[in-house]
Amino acid sequence: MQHLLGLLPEADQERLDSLSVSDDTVAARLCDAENDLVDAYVRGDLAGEDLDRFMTHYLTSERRRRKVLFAESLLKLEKERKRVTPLPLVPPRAAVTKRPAGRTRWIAWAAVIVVSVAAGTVVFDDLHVRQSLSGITAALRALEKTERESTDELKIQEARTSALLAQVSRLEGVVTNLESASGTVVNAKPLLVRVASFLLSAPTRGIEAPPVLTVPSDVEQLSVRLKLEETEFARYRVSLKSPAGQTVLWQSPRLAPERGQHGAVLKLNLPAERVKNGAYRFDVVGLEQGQEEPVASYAFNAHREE
Amino acid sequence: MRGGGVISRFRHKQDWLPSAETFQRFLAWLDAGGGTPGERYLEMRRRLVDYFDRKHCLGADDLADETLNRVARRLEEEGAINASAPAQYCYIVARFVFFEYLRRGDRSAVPYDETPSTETTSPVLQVADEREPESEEGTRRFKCLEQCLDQLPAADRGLILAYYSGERSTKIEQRRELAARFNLTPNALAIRACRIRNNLEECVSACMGKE
Repeated sequence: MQHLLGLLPEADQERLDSLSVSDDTVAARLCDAENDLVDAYVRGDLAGEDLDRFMTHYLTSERRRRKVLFAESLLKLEKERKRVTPLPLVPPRAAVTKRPAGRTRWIAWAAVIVVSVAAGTVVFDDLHVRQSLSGITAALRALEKTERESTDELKIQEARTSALLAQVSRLEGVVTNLESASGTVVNAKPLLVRVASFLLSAPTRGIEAPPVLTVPSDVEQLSVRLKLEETEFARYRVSLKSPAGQTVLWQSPRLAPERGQHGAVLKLNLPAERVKNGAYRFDVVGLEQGQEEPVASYAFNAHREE
Repeated sequence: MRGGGVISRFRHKQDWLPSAETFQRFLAWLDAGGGTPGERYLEMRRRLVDYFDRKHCLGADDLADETLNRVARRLEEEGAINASAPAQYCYIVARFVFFEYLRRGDRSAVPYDETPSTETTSPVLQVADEREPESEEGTRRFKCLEQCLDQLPAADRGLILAYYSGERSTKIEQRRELAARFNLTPNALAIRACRIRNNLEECVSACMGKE
């Protein structure tokens, strides 16, 4: 896993690179580890440095982002199949015994309390001892069944919650309310990663002042959508350039245009620190057979709030 | 499934194409008597694509093709390559291809880690955008996955669904049981699961491209 996250010293990295091509066993283990890593990410099992490295190192290639999307589909399929029929490989009890002891004990105590209440109800309703015992036994069985179902359900809920939490933390930067006018901050939620979102219209031939993007001081990410007039290319690349237009301050990976209510757009996410006060532009090139063709240039003025 | 490796799209070596006989000899050499030359070729290509991709090369497919192209040409020129085992030799050539890639002065020659964007860019957000569960693309991908799964032999389908399901904590035990059930060593099981998953991923990509 360290190899995949780029955490190994260079010499070890190179040795593993060699073995990953020339040694069948290492190649298989690496493949296995990579799939497990991607699965762990989509399940929300990664945390801390592993998660950081996954996002900043592993996810920098299109092929690997495709692997993540594939893993998501696989996970969705697993969940849907579980809803219909649970996979029988590991008996539910095995899973239950691996639960934290405290929670299991809590559930057991809860069951005892409920049984006691049920028992009391039966005794008061019908003083016949045998019937009471029979009722208690039935209640106990029902409760045992409920407990089993509850623990399984809890486990599923825990997994779902954990996956959802991870997803929320990843999605928090994606701001949905982009309908506002271009060149203004649409949303800057006080979440883990503060994001300012902008929508830039396709450049026009008229003489118009470039829009001003006001970036709040605490924003860490910029989420920018560039409206495309036409989508003649399947893939694009966008560069953020300095006012003089010579220095590339940031460059996107290969991007596919997406269709939404604003028509075709390119979605960019870049660190806010790339932009200070001043004039900038996003240069868009279309990619075809290894060639780049200029498509459009989106000029804007950035204003960083103090 | 991509696999037109020797007929490379790589610009620098586009002028050389192996004859059918050369290609057959190359496949046999690569397989080293394993009995599955086609599969071995695809597996080697996949490993090379992964290698270049891990190196953050743009156009990892093309670089893998270029590597195999060079090896095939060397084999044709020399008649035999005895210095190293086939897979090891492929890696040696891949390293040369990688260093040449780095030396080229154009923008695509810059490893991703050295571009200004990598340190703090969060590509995950772009993934996240595509991961919206209700997105049309996500739905299509899911349908493609179901279609591709249906095309698998029942045993492979069962294996891959079982191998990659379950929580992290239960996976080890689950896979041990699975290996016993399929009468495979854990390593052989991992190899088989990876191969099925890779094929499935390629099938889904192809399906997404078709629709």
